[in-house]
Amino acid sequence: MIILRIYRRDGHYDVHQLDIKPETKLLTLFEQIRTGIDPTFAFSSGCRHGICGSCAVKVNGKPVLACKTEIGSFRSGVLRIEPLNSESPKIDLLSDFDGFYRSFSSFPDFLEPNGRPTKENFLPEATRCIQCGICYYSCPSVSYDKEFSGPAAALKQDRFLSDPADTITESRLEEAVGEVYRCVKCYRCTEYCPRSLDPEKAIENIRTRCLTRKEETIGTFHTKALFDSIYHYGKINETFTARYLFGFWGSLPLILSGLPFLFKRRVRLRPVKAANLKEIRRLLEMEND
Amino acid sequence: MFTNLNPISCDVLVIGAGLAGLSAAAEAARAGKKTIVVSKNHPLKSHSAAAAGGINAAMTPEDAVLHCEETITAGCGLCDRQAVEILCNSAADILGKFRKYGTPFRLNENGEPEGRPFGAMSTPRTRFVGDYTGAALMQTAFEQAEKAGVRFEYDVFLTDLIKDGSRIAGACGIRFRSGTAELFSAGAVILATGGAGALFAVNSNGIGSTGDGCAMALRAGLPLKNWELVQFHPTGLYPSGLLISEAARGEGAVLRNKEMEAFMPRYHEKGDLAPRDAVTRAILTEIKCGRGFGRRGDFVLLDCRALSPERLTERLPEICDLTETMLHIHPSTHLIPVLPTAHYFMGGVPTDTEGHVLDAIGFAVPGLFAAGECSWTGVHGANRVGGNSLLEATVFGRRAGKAAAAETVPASPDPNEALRTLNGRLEPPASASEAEETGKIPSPLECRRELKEILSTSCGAVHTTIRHKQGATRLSLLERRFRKYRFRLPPERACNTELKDWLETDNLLLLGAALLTAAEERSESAGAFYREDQIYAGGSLYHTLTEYRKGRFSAERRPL
Ligand SMILES: Cc1cc2nc3c(=O)[nH]c(=O)nc-3n(C[C@H](O)[C@H](O)[C@H](O)COP(=O)(O)OP(=O)(O)OC[C@H]3O[C@@H](n4cnc5c(N)ncnc54)[C@H](O)[C@@H]3O)c2cc1C
Ligand code: SF4
Ligand code: SF4
Ligand code: FES
Repeated sequence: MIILRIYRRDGHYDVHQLDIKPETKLLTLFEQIRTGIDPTFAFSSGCRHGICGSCAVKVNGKPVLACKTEIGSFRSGVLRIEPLNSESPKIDLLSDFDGFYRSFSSFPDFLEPNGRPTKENFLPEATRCIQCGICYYSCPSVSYDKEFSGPAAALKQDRFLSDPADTITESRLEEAVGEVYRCVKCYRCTEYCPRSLDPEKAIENIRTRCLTRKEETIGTFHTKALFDSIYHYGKINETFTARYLFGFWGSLPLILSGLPFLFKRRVRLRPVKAANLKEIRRLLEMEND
Repeated sequence: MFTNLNPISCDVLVIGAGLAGLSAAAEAARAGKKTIVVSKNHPLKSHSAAAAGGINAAMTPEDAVLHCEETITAGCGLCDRQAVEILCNSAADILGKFRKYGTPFRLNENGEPEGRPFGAMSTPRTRFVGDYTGAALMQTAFEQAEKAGVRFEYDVFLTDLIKDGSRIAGACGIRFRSGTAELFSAGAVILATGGAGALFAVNSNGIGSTGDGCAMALRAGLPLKNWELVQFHPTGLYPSGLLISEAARGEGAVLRNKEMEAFMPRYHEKGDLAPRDAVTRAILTEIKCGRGFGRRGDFVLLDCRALSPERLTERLPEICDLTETMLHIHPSTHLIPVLPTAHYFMGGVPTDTEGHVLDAIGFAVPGLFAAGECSWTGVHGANRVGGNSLLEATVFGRRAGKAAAAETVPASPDPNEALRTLNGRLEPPASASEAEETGKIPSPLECRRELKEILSTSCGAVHTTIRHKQGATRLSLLERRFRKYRFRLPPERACNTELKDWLETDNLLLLGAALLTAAEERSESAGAFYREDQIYAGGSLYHTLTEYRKGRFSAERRPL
C-alpha cells in the first residue's frame, strides 16, 4: 500500500491510497490518474523514457524524472509529490521553467566555428543533457543569486570552451568569470542529474580555464589570495587575504565588520603560522606540479 | 468560450519546432523575414530529439546514387524519384553544415563522419552521435535558429489554420500557460508538426505525436496522401513499444525466436538488416506460428550479447539505459524482449519539392507549406529507410523555409472568423443530442486509450477489409460518446490539461477515421502496408488521397 500526496492547483494535496506494483513508474501512475480519476490533473511528459526531460517533479523533496522513477524506490511509503520549481506559480505538477531556459542565453549559446570541422572525435557531455531543469532548480546558488546562470548553462558553456573548433574562447571566458564563482560547490547538480552528467565538474573546468587567463579577476584573485595565505601561514588568514584582495585602503571598511570577530577572537591581528608549515608547503608545491 | 484573441503577426509562421520546423525557420529568418516558431512544448522537447540511430548521408556522389536507388527499392515503387534525388544529393552538404556548427558526429580515422549499417542499405552511411543523434542535431539546429533571430513561442497549442480568402494566412490556438486565445497571422505558414504515432496502443513515439498539423490540414479541406502507409518498427521494447533503435541490429544484434533460432536469414537475404516491413512481418509470422516468447507468446528476443560491453556502452548507451530502467536488464547479459511498434507515417500533407502544400487537384495552396513527418514529399514511398527521415526533415525543411520566405504576402485574417473557428471546436455539434443513450462518457484520455485499441486491432501492420469495417463502426460509436464530454474547467483556465487532451484526442479521432478510410481504399499490399485478404497478388501501384468534407471522409486513388 502506497500513499501519494500530490500537489494541486489551489495549494492543497490530493491523497491517493493505492495498491500498486512497486515497479510502476510514477509517470504511469500520473497518466492513470488523469485518465480514470481526474482529467484536469496537470503534469507534463513527452518521450516516456527519460530522454526529453519534460517530466521532472519532486518526490519527498528529491528531484526526479517521473518516467524513470519507480514508486517502490523510496524508503517511505508516503510520497509527497510536488512541482520542480517551488518558487514559481504552480499548477498541479507544472511549474514555470522560463528562468531555466533563459539561463542558456546568458552566453553565446552557439559555436562560433573557424570553418574547419575537427578531425578528432569530440563528444561533449552537454550533448547528453536533456534540459530537464533538475540541476538548476535544486541549485542553492541559483535560488538566491538571480544572476547565476546555473549548472546546466555551465555545462553547455564548458562544451563550447572545450570544442577545438570554437573561436571566441576569450570572450566566453570574460563572461564566465562573472558566473562560475557564484557556485558554492555543493555538488547537488551532479548528484541529482538523471543523466549522470557532471555540471559541477564543468564549473571546475571553467574555473581552471579562468585561472590560466592573463587578466586577473575577483575569482582568480581570491584563489591566489587563499593560496598565498596558506603558503605563507599554513592556514587561511583573513587579514592577509583581505589586504591582498582589496589593498590596504580598500580593506579598511572591512575592519568594521571584522571587529566583532576580533573581540570574539575568531580572527587575529597578528598572523599565527601553522606548526607544520614546511609539510604544507611541500604539499602545495606537489599540487602545483 | 473565448471572447477575444491576442493578435501576433509575422512574415513566416512555423508550426512545430522539431528538426523540420527549426530548419525551415532558420532559413526563413536568414532570408530576413520575421519568423515565429510556435510549438506545443519547448523546442528541445520535440519528438525529433528522441531519434536515436542516425541520419543517412552519402559522402561521395557515387554513394549518393546508390543511396537513391536503395531508397527507391525499399519504397516499393511509390517513391517520387525527383524528391529522392534531391534528398540523397543534399545529404553531404547538410551533414557538413551540422558538423561545422558543432554537431559532434562520431568520426573515423580519416576524420570523416563514421557510418553505421542500417536496414535496407548496402553501405554503412548512417552518421551518428552515440545513439542520441536526434538530440545532438536538435541542439545545433536550435542554436542556429536562435542565432538567426527566430522568435520562439512555446507552450502554445495551435488548433486551426485561418484563411484570408483562399490564402492560408495564419493559425489560431491557445497559450497553455495563461489560457488565452492567440491568433498568429502570417504571410506564409509552414506545417511541421510531426507524426501521429499516438494513434496506436503500441507505439514508439512521444506522447505529443498526435498529428495535429495533419488534422488542421484535413479540417481546412486539404487532403492527406498515402495516409494509410504506416511503418511498424520491428523492435519496440515489450510491452510499451518504446524504440530499440535499428542501430542495435546495425551494430550486430540478432533476433531470436522461442527456439533461440536466429530466424531472419530464413525470411530475407539481408537477414536482420532487411527492410523494416520485412522484419516486422517476419516477427509477426513467428509469433503467429507459435514461436514467440512469453506466456502469451507475443514477443521475440533481440540478442545483443555478441557485442562487447564496451561497444554497447560507447555506441548504444541509450539502449542500455532504456532496458535497465524499464526492465532492469542489461543487453550484454540478457536478451531484450521486443515486438513490432507503430513508428512512422510515410504519408501526410502532400507537398512538392519546394514544400508547397498541394490540394486534391494538385495545385499549390497559397500561403501554406509543409515539411517533416507531417508531410508527404514522396521520398519514403511505401516503406521508409531508417535514417532517412531526419535527413528529410532538414533537407525539405530548409527548402520549405526558403520558398516560404520568398513568397510571403501581407495577410490580414479576420479575427472574428478565427474566434468563431476556435470556439466552434469546443462546442458539441448539434447532432449529438443529450437524450441519445450511448453509455458512459469517457474522459479525453480514456477515449484516446480506446481509440488506440480500436486502431491497433483494426488497422495495424496487417490489414483486412473486415477489420477496417469493424474498426470504423466502433470508431463512430466512440466519437459519439466523445462529443458528449462536458469540460470540468472553463476553457480559458491556465494550464488547462483537460482541454488540451480533448483537442488532441479530437484530432486523433479525425486522423483515425481518415486512416481507416485510406486503408480501405488501398486494396493491394505495398511495402509497409500488408493486406492479408489481398485478391490480386503483385498489386498495381497508386497513391491514395483522403479528404474530409462536410463531416464525411472520402478516399480516391491517384496514378503515380
Ligand atoms: C523513437 C524514434 C526514433 C527515431 N529514430 C530515427 C533515426 O534514427 N533516424 C531518422 O532518420 N529518423 C528517426 N525517427 C523518425 C524521426 O525522428 C521523425 O520522423 C522526425 O523527428 C520528425 O521530425 P519533425 O520535425 O517532422 O517533427 P517533430 O520532431 O515530431 O516535431 C513536431 C513539433 O510540432 C509541434 N507541434 C505539434 N502539434 C502542435 C500543435 N498543435 N501546436 C503547436 N505545435 C505543435 C511540437 O511541439 C513539435 O515541436 C525516429 C522516430 C522515433 C519515434
Ligand atoms: S555545485 Fe554549484 S552549480 Fe551545482 S548545485 Fe551546487 S552551487 Fe549549484
Ligand atoms: S545537466 Fe542533468 S540535471 Fe541538468 S538539465 Fe541537463 S540533464 Fe537535467
Ligand atoms: S517523459 Fe521524457 S524524460 Fe520523462
